[in-house]
Parts: sequence; C-alpha cells; structure tokens
Amino acid sequence: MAEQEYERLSALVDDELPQDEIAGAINKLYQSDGGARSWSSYHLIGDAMRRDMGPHYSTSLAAEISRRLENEPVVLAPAALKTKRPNRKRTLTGLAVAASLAGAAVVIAPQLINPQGTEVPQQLAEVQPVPESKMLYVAQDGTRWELLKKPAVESRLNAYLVNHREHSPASNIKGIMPYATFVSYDGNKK
Amino acid sequence: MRQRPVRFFNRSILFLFTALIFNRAVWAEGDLSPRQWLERMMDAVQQLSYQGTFIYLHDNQLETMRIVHAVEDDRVRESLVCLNGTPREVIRDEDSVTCVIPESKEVSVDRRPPSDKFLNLLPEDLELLDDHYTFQILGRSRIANHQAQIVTIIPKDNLRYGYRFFLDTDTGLPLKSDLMNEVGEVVEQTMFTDLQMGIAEINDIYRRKSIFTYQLKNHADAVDTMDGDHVSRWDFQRLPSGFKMSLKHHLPDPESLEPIEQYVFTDGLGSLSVFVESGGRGEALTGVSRLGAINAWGGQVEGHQVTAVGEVPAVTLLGVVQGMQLKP
Repeated sequence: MAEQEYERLSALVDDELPQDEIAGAINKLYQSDGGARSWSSYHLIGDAMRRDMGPHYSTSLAAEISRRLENEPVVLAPAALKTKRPNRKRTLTGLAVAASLAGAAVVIAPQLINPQGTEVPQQLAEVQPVPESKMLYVAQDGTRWELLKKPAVESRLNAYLVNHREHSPASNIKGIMPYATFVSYDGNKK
Repeated sequence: MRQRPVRFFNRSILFLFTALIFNRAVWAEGDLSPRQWLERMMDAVQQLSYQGTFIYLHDNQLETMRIVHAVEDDRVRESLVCLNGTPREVIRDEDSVTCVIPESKEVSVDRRPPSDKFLNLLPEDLELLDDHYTFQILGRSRIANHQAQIVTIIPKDNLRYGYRFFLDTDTGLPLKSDLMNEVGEVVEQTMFTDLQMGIAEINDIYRRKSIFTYQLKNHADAVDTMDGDHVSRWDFQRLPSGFKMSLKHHLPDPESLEPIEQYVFTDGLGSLSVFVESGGRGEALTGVSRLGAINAWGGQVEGHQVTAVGEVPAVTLLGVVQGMQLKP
C-alpha cells in the first residue's frame, strides 16, 4: 500500500474521513493485501493510546479464528444433528475460538505505553503469542501486593497497613470501608 | 392612559413573585455546598445504622463485600466481610479492630488507643483542605435505586489522590466512591448494589470463634507516646507540600525488645505512615509495592529498616522517606 493509502486508512479508523469517501476506502481495504492487517494494527494502536486495553490479542487473531472455523466439519443436516447432540456444534466452535484466543492472548501493561508517543509503542511492535496459554489463567505465586512474593513479608506489611488505617483521616470519612483493601480476596493468587 | 401604569405594576409584582418562588425552589434543591455535603456524609457514615452489599474494584479485580454498621446506645460496631473466596473479615468497635484471616489461621486483635476513639475529622479540618483540594458538586445520579448527589474532591497537585462521592440525597451515605490517582485515573471504586437503612445485624464474634479454631493473637494493649523513655530519634525534613506529622508513637513489638516507631503524616485527607524498626526482625519489604490505591516502600535508612505505607502517590511516600534523618 502506498503511504497515502495508509493515511486514508488511519483516518478511517479515527472516523475522520469525509462521509462520501468511507465506502471507497472500505472497498479498497477489502481488496488490498496488507489492508486488513493494517486495519487491525491501527485499532490496536488507537486502543493503546486511549489506554483502553484489557488483555490484548495479536493481530493474527482474526485469521486464526477463520482458519479454525474453516476446518470445522460442515453440518449438512443441522436438524438431524440437533435431535442427537444438540450442543455439539456450538461446543466445538466455542472450543476452537477459546483455543485461538488463549494461544494469541498477550497482556500488555497500559502504563508501559507512552500515550504522547507518536511512534508505535515498543510493546505493540513486539506482540508475540504466549506459548503457554495457561499463563494468564492459573494461580500465580506471590501475594496480593504487587511485586511482593514472600508471605512473611506480606503479613508484616498487612499488619502495618491495618495499623495505619486506624490513624488515617480517610477512615473517618468512609468508616470501615477502606478495610476493603485488606479483606479483599485475590482469585489470581494462590 | 390610566390602565398602563396599573398593568405595569401588576406585571412587576408577578415578576417579583415568580423570581421569589423560583429562587426558593433552587435553594431547596441545591442549598448545600460541597463541604456541607461532605460533613453530612461523615455524620451519616458514623451515626446511622445500615447494612448492605457493595462491589469493590481495584487492579482489575472485582469483588463483593458485605458491610454492617450498627449503632446501639452510642456504641458503634462495624463488620466488613469479603463474599468472594476466603471469608476474611474485619470487625471494629470503639475498643478494638479484629481481623479474621482464615488462611493464616489467626484472629488478630488490635486494641485501639483510647485517644483515637474520637479521632474524627472535624468541619474545621475540611476548611484546611482548601489549600490542596478543590470541592465541586457535579450533578445527580442514581445508585442502587437511590438518588445520589455527586461531590468531588480534586487535588491541586500530583502529591495526593482525588475522590468522587455519590451521596444518597436522603441520608448522605456514600453509595459509590471513586478514588483517582495523581493522573486522574480511577484506581479504586466501591459501589453499593443493595443498601438497607435502619437495619444492622452483626454476628457475634465469640460465636464465630467457636466455629473456627483460630489462634488468637493479641497485640499489646498500650502504645506509648514518645515523651516517655523512648524519644523520637528521627527528623523529617522537606516534607511534601501540605503534609504534616500528625502522630508519632512507639508500638511495642511482641517479637522484640525494641519497639517499632510509627510516624503518621497527613494533608488532612491523604495520609501515610512510616514505621522504623531497629534490630533484626526477619525479612522486611525491600523496594516498592502496591495494593489497590495503597503504595508501600521498604528499605534501609541509616542502618534502620523503614517501611512506609499509605493511600498516597508513590512520589509522596518517597518524598517523606528521602527527608528522613537521624538526629545528631
């Protein structure tokens, strides 16, 4: 794609293209080779800049899902299937999508991305599929405190926090509510 | 010719009345200043009986909590229990704070020092906040099926956090509260999903003790202020703007002969504590850590283990620690 086309694509993503040019731009997007990929990237960049990001997915996600869906057995007589195994088709598709999501999911810490930066943030450029899909979902070692992995140290820090709460003006404003930090349960941690 | 002045007179009377009625209506709707709303909130939180369920969001973690606040004959008892995962609980009354932590199989009871029983933020203190915060009223909303007034406390610099409260228009209770960090991002939110006023059923802690076999850890009863044998050995210089030392005392440590020194700093709303340990006490926090909106720092200062913790930006925490000096 020519540089001018990239610019038009970027404007399309940002909803800055004049009304009458939108249809043409979308057509071009369909026809061009790298168009769809750039489209995904621009959206990802936009989200990153707006710090709109949850767990993120690589740009090949759409391709991966389509590939897996293509490999799904085509059901020629859906009605017949329904009577035997009503949920089979849905379950399989669900699994395929879940698998591809898990394979491609990459968490990017939003604070690492400089919102003012004009360049593509480094972390985005290096988006890689996580080989161990379990990484995001299983319990992590450590404590509820960030960067703190030792329960003995956490126990002392908690004691200090409870003690501090008793002398904090915020505790007078919100009553016992600030203790929510203390009693909160972190499902991600063992 | 004669009718015109009369009509003019009538019209002006009418105008005057309309203006008066309109004015009165406006006064009735929004007669409280942001500060008056906050005073109302503080009174409500402490003086009303209520119970309810609220959701608590921090670090992309969503949790539900049950809160009960019982006022009986001027005695206040409060309980907060997490409804997800391990049922950790905090129970507080005028004498003690009890933390029930099943995973560590212990109930820890902290006796509250008598002087803190009535440590309340007074309206005068709210006025002092003017130097560092702006108060605003931001219209109305609806939370947990209650009408809510939105009141914000916006910091004037990046050394403190901001607050946004959604207060029940009838009682002043905070139905939703957001805590904003130094760049205005919401770092912690609580919101009631269900709130009952005038009802408060607190389970008895003694009954609970018989259900679980917790080991009871009693913290020492008294803290001693620093005018006794133990004198403060530290100077705090160049404190972050607006922060003042509000308390210094010694916490007796059951594991060591040497007490722990605690210094509390506050700007009237945000606050942090600096704990100084002398002598070896096993491993302590090294470096920075964070839990929701709480920042913590631990490290060595002039040969002493120092731990700072508080609901303030990390830069404020580090600012206090950097100004620490042993008195000559």
